[in-house]
Amino acid sequence: MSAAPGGSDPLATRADVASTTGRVESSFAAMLRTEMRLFMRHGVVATAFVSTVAWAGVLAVVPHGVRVEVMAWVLFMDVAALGFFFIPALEAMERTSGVTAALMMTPLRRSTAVVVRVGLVAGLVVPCAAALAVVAGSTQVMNVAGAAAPLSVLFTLLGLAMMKNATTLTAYFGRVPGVAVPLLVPAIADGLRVLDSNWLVLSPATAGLRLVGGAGGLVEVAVLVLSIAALWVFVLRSGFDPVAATIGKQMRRKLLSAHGPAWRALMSADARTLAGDRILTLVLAGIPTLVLALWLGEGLLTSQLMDTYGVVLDRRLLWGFVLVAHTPIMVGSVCGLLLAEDRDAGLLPAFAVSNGGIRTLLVYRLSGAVVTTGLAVGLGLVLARFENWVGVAATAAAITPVPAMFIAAVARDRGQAVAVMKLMALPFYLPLIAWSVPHIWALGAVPTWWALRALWEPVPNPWWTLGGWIVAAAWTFVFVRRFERSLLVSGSSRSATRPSRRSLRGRSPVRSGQS
Amino acid sequence: MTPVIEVQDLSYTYPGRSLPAVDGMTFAIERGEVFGFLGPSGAGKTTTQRIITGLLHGWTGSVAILGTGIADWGRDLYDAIGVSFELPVGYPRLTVAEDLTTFSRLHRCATVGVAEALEEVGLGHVAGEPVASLSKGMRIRLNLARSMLHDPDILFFDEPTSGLDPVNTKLVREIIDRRRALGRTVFLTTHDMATASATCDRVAFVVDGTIAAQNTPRALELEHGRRFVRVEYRIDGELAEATLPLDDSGPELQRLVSSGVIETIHTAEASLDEVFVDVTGRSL
Ligand SMILES: Nc1ncnc2c1ncn2[C@@H]1O[C@H](COP(=O)(O)OP(=O)(O)OP(=O)(O)O)[C@@H](O)[C@H]1O
Ligand SMILES: [Mg+2]
Repeated sequence: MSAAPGGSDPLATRADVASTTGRVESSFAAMLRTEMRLFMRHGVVATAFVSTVAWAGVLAVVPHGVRVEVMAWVLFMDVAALGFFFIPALEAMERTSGVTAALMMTPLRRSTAVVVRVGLVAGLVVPCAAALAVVAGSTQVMNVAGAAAPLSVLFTLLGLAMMKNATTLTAYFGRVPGVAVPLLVPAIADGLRVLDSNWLVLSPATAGLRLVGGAGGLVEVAVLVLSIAALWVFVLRSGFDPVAATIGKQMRRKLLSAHGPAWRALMSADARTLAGDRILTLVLAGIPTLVLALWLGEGLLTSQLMDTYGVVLDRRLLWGFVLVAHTPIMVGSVCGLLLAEDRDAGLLPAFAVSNGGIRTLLVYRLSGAVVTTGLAVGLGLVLARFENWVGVAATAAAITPVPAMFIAAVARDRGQAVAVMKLMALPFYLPLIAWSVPHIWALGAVPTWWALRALWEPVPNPWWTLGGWIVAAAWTFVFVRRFERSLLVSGSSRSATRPSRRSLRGRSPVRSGQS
Repeated sequence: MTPVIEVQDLSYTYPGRSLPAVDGMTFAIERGEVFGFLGPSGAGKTTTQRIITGLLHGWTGSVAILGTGIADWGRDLYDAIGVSFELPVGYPRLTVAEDLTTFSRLHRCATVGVAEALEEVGLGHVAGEPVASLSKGMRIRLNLARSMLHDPDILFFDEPTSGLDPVNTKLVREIIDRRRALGRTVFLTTHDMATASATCDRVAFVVDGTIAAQNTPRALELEHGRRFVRVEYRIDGELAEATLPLDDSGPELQRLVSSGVIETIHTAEASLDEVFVDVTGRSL
């Protein structure tokens, strides 16, 4: 297109070339095609598929009477929230690789890009929701799937709104507790019928949960639609600013060259990265908030579950889930995410050739995570008046490096890190079934099993702690080795995009000579 | 004729900074011109380019492209200009061809085929490779290809030769020359004085956010030049060197030539390197 726009009215000249709608359509199609590729290659589709199959399996084994109820919770907490996890990961990837700035140098409108992104997530969520509704034996499959669509739009837009100008996922996840708690607590209270108030529907999450559960009507729809509209306006108005976003990065680079012991340099770099986006305070505040909420609401929750479902919820099971399983997994995931982001930023090779080497980084990061978990779990157990809090906290703390190193070793970029984080939740929480079936010894391969047993045992027994330590140490060792080998392989940037597993297996002495 | 790019009294200070990054900049670029934007690191070159391409807000002064103030252009501005960033850009998980296809379809006037664009920057052989697997020099050339997909009237190249070997540097110079021949305007930001001297119609030296000098490379070289001839010759088997002023070297040069002991002769006219040192007050 060489016909230059005239100096007087370039817009008019350009308008002759193609009609405006024609362009919108074609850029829409271009973005859609690219977005589908990104969804495939960053594991979004695979994760949606695998987690749907896994949840279908869970639904198939829960008692008939509660299937639809459980399905609603699964859709609400996991399936419809797909975009809440993945879209920020894709955004972070695009922002740091310069793609966002390059897209700003094209006529593409941000609204087009957001519509494609949000729409594709909903398009993925709806069939998953329908499949789960069928498995659960719901009589309103169409309604459930139809409600999952706006719920997923809500979650995806919420993720985009919370990203704002952040360029890292750790920054994003640091903001999650601050938004998730006020939004989800009313929904959960409503869903479990702990509270009975019409005000609860003011949280769009409550409205969404009611709708996927087959309840709710016009009010719920109105709340959901209004929230989506408000978020839509917010997301479009607070577009990403690539120039402003570079300031934090410059700061971090400067800090890494500071003098002094390696751990102090690392700590100040991490602290700046985390504190710069207030993540540290929020992650640290998020766990105590949960513990506090549980401490206050424990009695209400258990009696309500008793009255509504006739379920007896032992407080050791409840606290085991929140403190012993959830806390180390969350802290470990943040730690693993940080490593995945360092890999994306090309920092890991820089650490590897630094004086301390990559092990210094790992020792520092992992011990920080272990101490954080130990303190959080210990304090929580004291608050909940558990006798054996030292032994249980020590066992739970030792779990932390396992999810951290699993994410760091397996994920090749932050998109995959999110996928891994989501998929690993299931095996890590699986030992909770030991509450009713205590003698599946195979569960001993999962480190959370030992910590849960330590908590549940009537008499304190140091063997649970020791066993937990050995299992956690073994997994940590395996994943650290794998992590270190992945660094060697991705030293050539080519393999960073190719499956590293295959190239690792292929490294026999004979073949390494050829290329 | 209206200038293609007209910048008047442009100033900008980054939030939280005390000193302005751009401080009273004024220049105009005509159609078909290759305009070199030179100067030390941190002088404000990239910042100026960000302002002209609409990535920064909150500046003062006036900036017009093709006679229209940049605030009055809508998204259509990006069909008229093409921008190649100084840092590598690309979807890490897409192949080179997929990445470019995405961008080319976002323009409504994409006339250059992706294959053709890749061929021009010498990346045809990696079209099917993931962007993450490219070397640094390849990624810089991918940036160039992306900026030229829609054959825009005005091209902004920020350090297009950084990280390139001599063969690819020559390729970039040919790309620029070809654009000039087609009547396109090129805004070239670079630290590569040889490329600036070889390709630019005019260059501007930016120092501390303002333009310290602007003219044709030739005029600047002459103005700041110390024109002389350097002669290496042998005397009693030892190597010696003489530096003679070019305007007045006749008799002495003739004497050395006829004595038959000369090893090398170089005319040492000022290059843009020396102009850079002179104008910016920094040493190389
Ligand atoms: N995102 C930013 N936030 C704050 N200050 C910035 C930012 N980007 C650049 N600066 C500052 O503005 C000044 C000009 O920077 P600019 O990037 O324009 O320089 P440049 O001439 O392009 O340098 P180089 O030749 O190294 O690319 C510098 O002092 C720089 O530190
Ligand atoms: Mg620059």
